[in-house]
Parts: sequence; C-alpha cells; structure tokens
Amino acid sequence: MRLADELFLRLRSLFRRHEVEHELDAELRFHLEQQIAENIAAGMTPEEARFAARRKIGALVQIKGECREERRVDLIENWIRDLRYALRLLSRNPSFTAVAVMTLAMGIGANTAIFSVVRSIVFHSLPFRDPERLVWIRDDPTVLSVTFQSWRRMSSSFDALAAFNAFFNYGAVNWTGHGEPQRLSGVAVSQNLFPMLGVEAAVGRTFRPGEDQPGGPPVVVLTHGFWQRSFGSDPSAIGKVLTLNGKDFNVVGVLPASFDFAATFSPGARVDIFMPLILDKFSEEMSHYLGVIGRLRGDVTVARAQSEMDALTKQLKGRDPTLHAVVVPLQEAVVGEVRTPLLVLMSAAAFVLLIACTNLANLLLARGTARRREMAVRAALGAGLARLVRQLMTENILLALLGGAVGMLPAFWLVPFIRTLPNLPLPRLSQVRIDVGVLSFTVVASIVTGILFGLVPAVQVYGSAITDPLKKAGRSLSAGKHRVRDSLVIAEVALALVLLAGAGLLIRSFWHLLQVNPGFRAEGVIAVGIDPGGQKYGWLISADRGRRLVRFFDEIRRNVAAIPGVEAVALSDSLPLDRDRGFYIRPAGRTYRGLNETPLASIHVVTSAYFRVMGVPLKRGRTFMEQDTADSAVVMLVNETMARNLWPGEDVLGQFAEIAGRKAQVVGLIGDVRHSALDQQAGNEAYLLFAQYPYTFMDLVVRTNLEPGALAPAIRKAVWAVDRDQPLAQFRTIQQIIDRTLSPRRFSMMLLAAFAGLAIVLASVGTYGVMAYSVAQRTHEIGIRMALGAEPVDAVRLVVGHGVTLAGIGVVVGLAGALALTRWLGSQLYGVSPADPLNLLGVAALLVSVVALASYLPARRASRIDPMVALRYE
Amino acid sequence: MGKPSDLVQGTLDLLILKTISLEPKHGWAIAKRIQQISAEVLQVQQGSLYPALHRLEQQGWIKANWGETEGGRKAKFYSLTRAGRTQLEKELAQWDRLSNAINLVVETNEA
Repeated sequence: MRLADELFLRLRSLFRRHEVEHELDAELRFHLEQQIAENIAAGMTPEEARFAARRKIGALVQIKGECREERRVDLIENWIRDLRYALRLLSRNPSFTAVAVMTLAMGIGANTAIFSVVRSIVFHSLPFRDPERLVWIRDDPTVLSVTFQSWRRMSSSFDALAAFNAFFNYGAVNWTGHGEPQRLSGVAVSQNLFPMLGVEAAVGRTFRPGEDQPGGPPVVVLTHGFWQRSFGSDPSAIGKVLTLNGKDFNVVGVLPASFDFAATFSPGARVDIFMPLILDKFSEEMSHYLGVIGRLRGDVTVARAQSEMDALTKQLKGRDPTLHAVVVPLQEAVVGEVRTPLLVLMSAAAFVLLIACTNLANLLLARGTARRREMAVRAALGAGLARLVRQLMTENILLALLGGAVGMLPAFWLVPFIRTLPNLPLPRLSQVRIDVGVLSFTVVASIVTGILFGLVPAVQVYGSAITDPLKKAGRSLSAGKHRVRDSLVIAEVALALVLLAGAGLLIRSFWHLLQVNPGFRAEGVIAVGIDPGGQKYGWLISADRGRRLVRFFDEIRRNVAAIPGVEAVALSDSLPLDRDRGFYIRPAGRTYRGLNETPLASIHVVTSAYFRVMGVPLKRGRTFMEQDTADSAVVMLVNETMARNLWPGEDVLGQFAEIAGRKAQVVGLIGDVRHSALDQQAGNEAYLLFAQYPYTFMDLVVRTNLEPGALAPAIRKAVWAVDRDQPLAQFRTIQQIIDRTLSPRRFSMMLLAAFAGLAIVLASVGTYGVMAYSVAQRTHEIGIRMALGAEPVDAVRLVVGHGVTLAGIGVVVGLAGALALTRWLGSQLYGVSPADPLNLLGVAALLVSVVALASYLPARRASRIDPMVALRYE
Repeated sequence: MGKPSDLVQGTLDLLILKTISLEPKHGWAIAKRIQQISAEVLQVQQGSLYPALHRLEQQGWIKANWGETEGGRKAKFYSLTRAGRTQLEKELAQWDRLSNAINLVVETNEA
C-alpha cells in the first residue's frame, strides 16, 4: 500500500509536472499572502508589508528547488541529464570509447556465448512435462528385457516406466522403395514413453496402447527433421507406408520440432523414426539393451525409489545375476558429466571479464586524473559525493552496456556455430540458443561490470577532487594511487596466469592424446556401414544364413577390391573408437564361480585383410588366412593385453577358449589397439573370423591412396551391383571417427585457449597502459635522474624493472590460484598433472615476457627524455 | 539566545508531525503554531518548512489535500497518515530518551 502510494506520488511528480509545479506555486503564494496580511495587521503599509514578507521568506526559487528535490523529481531528471552528459563525453573521446567498448565487448561477449551454452544445457530443465519427476534407471547402464518387465510389474514407486532400445545405432533400418535405398536411424520405444514425457504429436498421433504388444500393427512415428527432409513437411505423409527392412509400416504421426530425443538420450546421434518397442520372447534373448526412464509416483523421492529397486534386485538376481539398478534424476543423468567442464569454461569466461574490468578501471583511473578539475569545480559548486559518484557511475554503466551490446554480436554468430558443431556429443546441444534469459544475463553482467570497474576510480576521483581542489593538474600522484594501479596490474597478471595455465594443460593433454599410438593407422582408410538386415538372410542364426551372408559380403569385397585406387578391403563389425561388444571368454580348463568372475573380452568380427587395411601389427603367429573358412577349425586372434591377462607366463599360441558360444584356438598375437577411447589403455580384445561368426551389421573398411571421398560413388556402385536395394550408411574416414571422440576435448580446449588468448591480449594492453601512464607521471623524476648522470639504459631498466616486479608478484599469486583451480579440469587432463611444473613455468615465463615487452615500449620513450624538457615539464 | 531557526532536521519533522496530529493544517498555520506554542522561541523558516513538508509527504507520513481556510481561501492542508502517526510515536519516544539524557547530563552538578 505505502509503496504504491509512494510510487504514485513519484510518478505524479514526474509526469504531471505542471500540475505539481502549479500547486507548489499556489502553496507558496498562499504563504506569502498570509505573511503580508500579518505584516499589514502589524501596522505596515502594503508596500512595506510585501517587501518585508519577501525578505522573510527568502529566495522563493530556492525553496521551490528544494521542494522539488524532496519529491525526487531530480533523481530521474538528473539521471537523464547524466546520461546525456555521458553520451556527449563518450562521443567526444572516440578513441577512449572505442578501446573501452572493445575491451568490454571481449569480456562480455565471451561470457554471453558461454552462458547461453551453459544455461541451455545445465540450468534449463529438460523440455518435458514435470521433468524433475523423471528418472533414469541404469544397470550397467542398460537393462535386460525380462528385468524391465519385472520392474513394471512389481515396482510401486513409479507412475510409469518406459524403455527404449539404447543400441539404436546398431539397429538402423533399411528404407527401400523410395528412390535410392536409405539407411534410417530408428529407435524402438515403449508406447507410453511419449505420454510419460508429455510429448504430443505435431501431426497425427503417437503410439496407442497395444501397439507395442507382440503382434501389434506395424506403425512408425517420424521425427520432425526426417519429415522435413524426406517429406518436405507434407502433412499427407500420415498414412503413407514405409518399407523398412522389407516390411511395411504405416506412418501415424510426426513429432514436434521441439522434441529432440537424441539431444537428451543419446547426444550426437541422429534419429529419423520411432517404432514401438515390442518386448516379445525374442527381446528376452537379447543382452542388456534397454534404456529405462521412469516417472516417480506422487511424492516418492529418488532415495525411496532406489531402496525399492534394491529390494527388487534381490528378487530378480536369479534371472539377472549382475543386476545393480541405480535410480538417477534424469537431468543429472543427462548433464551430470558435462556440468563440471562447462562450469570450468564459464569461470574462465568470468576471469576474462574480470581482466577486462581491471583494464577499464585502469583506463578510468588515468582519465580520472584528467577529470579532477572538472570534479573539483562541481564539488566546489555544491555537488555532493553521491551526486558525483552517480554521474561517474552513469558513464561507466553506459560504457558497459555499450560493450555488452557489441559483445552480443559475436555471441549471435558463435551460438549457432556451436549448436551445429559436427561430431560434438554434448547433450542438448541443439537446444542451445540466445533467449531473453541470456539477454538479461548480458544486461546484468554489463551493469555489474560497470559498477565493478567504475567504483574505485569514481571514489578516487571524488576524493582527489575535494582534497586537492583546483590547485594543480596533478604532477605528483599520491603513493596510494600508485598502489591501486600496481595492484590492478598484479591482478591482471594473476588472472591471466590462471587461464593460461588451464589452457596450457588442456592443450598439452590434447597434444599428448594426438601423440598416443592408437595401435592402428588411420590415414587413407574409409569405412561405410552395410547391414543387409534379417529379412533377406533370416533372423535366426543358422549355418545357411551364415553362408548366404558370407557370400553376399564376399561379392561386395571382390567388387570393391577391383576399384582402381583401392589397396585393400576388409570387413569389421566394430571399428576402433566407434563401437564395442563385450562377451564372456572362458579359457579351456578353467572354471569361474559366477559371471562376476568370468573375464570379459571385446570381440571384433573381421575378415583376413582387416589388419592390413587398419595397419594393426601382428606380433606373433599368423592372422586369418584363406584356409580358414566356415567349415575349418575355429580360430581366433588375441591382443597382447588379453594374452597377458588370461595366459600370464604361458605361450598364448595354441590355447583354446570358449567365446560367443564356440570354442576357438588362438593362432595369432595382435598388437594392442585403443578401442574404447584414446585416453584408455586397450582391454581384452579378441578377433574372430567373419566366415566363422557371420554377422549382419558390418563396416566395410577400405585402404586407398586416393582422396577418400573420391571412392564413395564407386563403392556404392560396387555394392548395388550385388543388391540394388542395399543402402549404405554414411561414408566416414577413420580420422573422422577419431576426431569425433576428441571433439569434446577439442571444444573445451579451443574455448579455454581462446579465453586465455583474450586474457593475454587484455593483460598486455592493460599493462602497457599502466606503464605508459606511469612513465608520463615520472617524467619529472626520470628527468632529474638523467640530469644527474643516469644513462638512457637506466631509465629503461627502471621502468621495465618495475613492470617485471609487478608481473612477478602477479605470477606468484596466479600460480597459487592455478594450483587451486586447475584440479577442476580433472578428467579432462591426459598425461599431465595439474601441477605440471613445465606448464606453470612456461606460462609464467610467457606472461613475464609479455609484461616486460609491454613495459619496454613506454620505457624506451622514457629513455629519450631530454632532462631539460623534463624538468620544465609541468 | 542562539539563532532560533537552527533546528536539527529530525526535530523539525517531529514538530511538524506533532503540530498536525490533532487536525489538518496548512503550511502557514503549521509555522505559526510552532512559533506560538514555543513562545516564539522556535521560528520555522519557510526555506526549511516546505521542503520538509514535501519530504514527509514523499515518505508517506503526511498527506496533502486542498481545502478552504476560515477566510475562504484555497490552501494546501497537511494531515497525518497512519504511518505518520506511528512515526510520530516513534520520534516522540526517541525525543524523550534524548532530552532526558541531555537533562541528566546538564543538570548534574558534580563539577
């Protein structure tokens, strides 16, 4: 109530000014008349009475002014006046304004860009209904079909449980009968997934209950992107029939553009269509393959759901011996891993902004000296501290907002660029955008920046204005002010050092990774996925199916090998850094208690030329040969790590082991290959022969001495010569596969390096400014020294020495900060420790030399000082 | 007698609030009333009175209405708001404490 009244009065004072002024006039006139009347009553003539009253009341104008001030009209009016004044001032000093705005733009722009990424990925809730009630239930992390079905039946913590085929990358489908055969990425999902997430179809409908039951109708729902790409956003796509893997499916709906399944559940992947997930007998034969999402019931907490799952686990261990269910809030499951790296980047951007602030504070301090006369005059005319500080702050905030506005420009360009970065498996990347929240962040950041960099100079300017009024333009600065400037340089160097140390660590980690010998040679190899699917060769594993698959792929291999420029051709079901399949392996003659103790190995089904194509060395024994066929003895090759792990101290050649359902003999020892990640040592790897373990989803790998892309049309033709309806997945070079695994690191590294680059530019400009200023201030002193016989080199030494001393202190402070902060880089580091002395020394040396250089330029000017001129300098 | 108009700012507020606590008054009447009651000791200068009135109005302690004087002239009458009444009580209590304290100091004959 009171607040509203006050606001009313203020607004009235501001906008109904004439009315208010008129009332004020009337009020004071009434008073005057009363005084006159009293005077007349006391016996004065009207003339005298009027004169006496006027004298008694004093200057009417001044009273009015004070009344107005009490009404706070002035606050806003003054502010507008300040603003106009500030604009005039800034436009009169274009070079100062340009430097200041650019400095701020770098700082604020970097923050805006990174904040838009962090906000969309980490801080925004997931774009689903009541997202905080959604959980991801992980087991390894995927779940057996039988276990999922038991959870649905037995658990009471959830309103709904839904699953999807988490290995949909494997299960891509072939789309035929629509121009060239295409390979689509389709995800099988429970019917209730969309309703549970609160996602409704944009066109048509999503799945109906019953459509995910065995024998349900064959239906698909399209993603918005696929609908746009392949159907030109035509609503009549609903009701069309898609032939997928040789089977007809009806299109029943299109999902909204806002629903990006992959962005949440499988970052970096692409999804074209959704099919109902049918949990039939066949699904129960599969290994762990389901991602399970649940919606907590009522007020059930995550902890309570977890304890129920723990209880259920005990009952379900019989069917699923390794079961270990973990309930994680969905948001946490999706962004948990990227939160720390992103927050590190955001802090780095904040550091850049702090350095920019420091620079600005320095610039303003220097300018403040020039403005002391102005301030002194204003203070002498009665402007109070608050009034002067307010005026200076208006200028600073205006400057900061200008910087923010300019800083937005690169952000507008950078954000779409980041959003569409290829191969960057960041969750929710497609949802990154600049919105009102980001814009308000920028505005607030600008204002805070303005206050931050402006306050100290403003107070200093005022202080000097009243203590040193109008006396001199300021030859000698107080020691206090020197200290402020010096500490700004120290702060700048320290901040820059932390950033440089962090960037240095990431760059070194990346470089270490590039030096890692992955165990294969990527140059000149391209790969393309070919999956004939089950419809032609049968779904069930049988000798006949195997022979037909082998014949199909043999023919393709022959055709491709005949293409000019192809050096070697092979097949593999799982390329390094791409995919992996784990199987239990039991060396002959050994028994294991339970599956937990049974060793696991990744298996790779390949053809004989694989090692030649990929450049993987044979260490001992032999690789697969023509004599190894479907009907000959089952053989396998093992890597060195597995030989060490499973047959320590024994000769691995000739050993037998049971793997993937068959007993195989080890005939060769293969060099280690980093399969799961470049920063992870090889695990147990076994290579099996395609002819003996036929599989449908293979990658054709081709070594060529030609430009890899040039081969694509010829390879496509070679495949279509065998089967006109066989789609090919996207061609990839092995280098692209490596790049993809490195892309999150590259992203972090590039951004941090960019921030560190900005930091060093800003720090050197800032130091240069301070040094140049200090030389100008010390002209007199230097002149005296020269007059007393100092050499020019002494002047240089004096100035550079001062700069380097400051840098040294900054380096010490920065090193402490770097040691404390770089450990947040944690798992982003590879082959280098946060306290790596080489890195710290390197960046320290770099910064000291930059500061030395930045001090040298003004120092050279100092050395040319003519003592006579300098002594007269005033 | 020192300069009678040298009123501490907070004191003027208190005087104004007290003066209009019984009935609404215009500026002239407020000044006169303070002068009368204080036996001419306290003289309120117009230069302080009107800014103070406008400030008190801005703070929501008093409100202004145009009304007619006994002589039939239009004038701006100020009256206390509810917040103003609370403020008056607060300031009175404070004044009591302060004046008692000062009395204690100046009336003690220890020297």
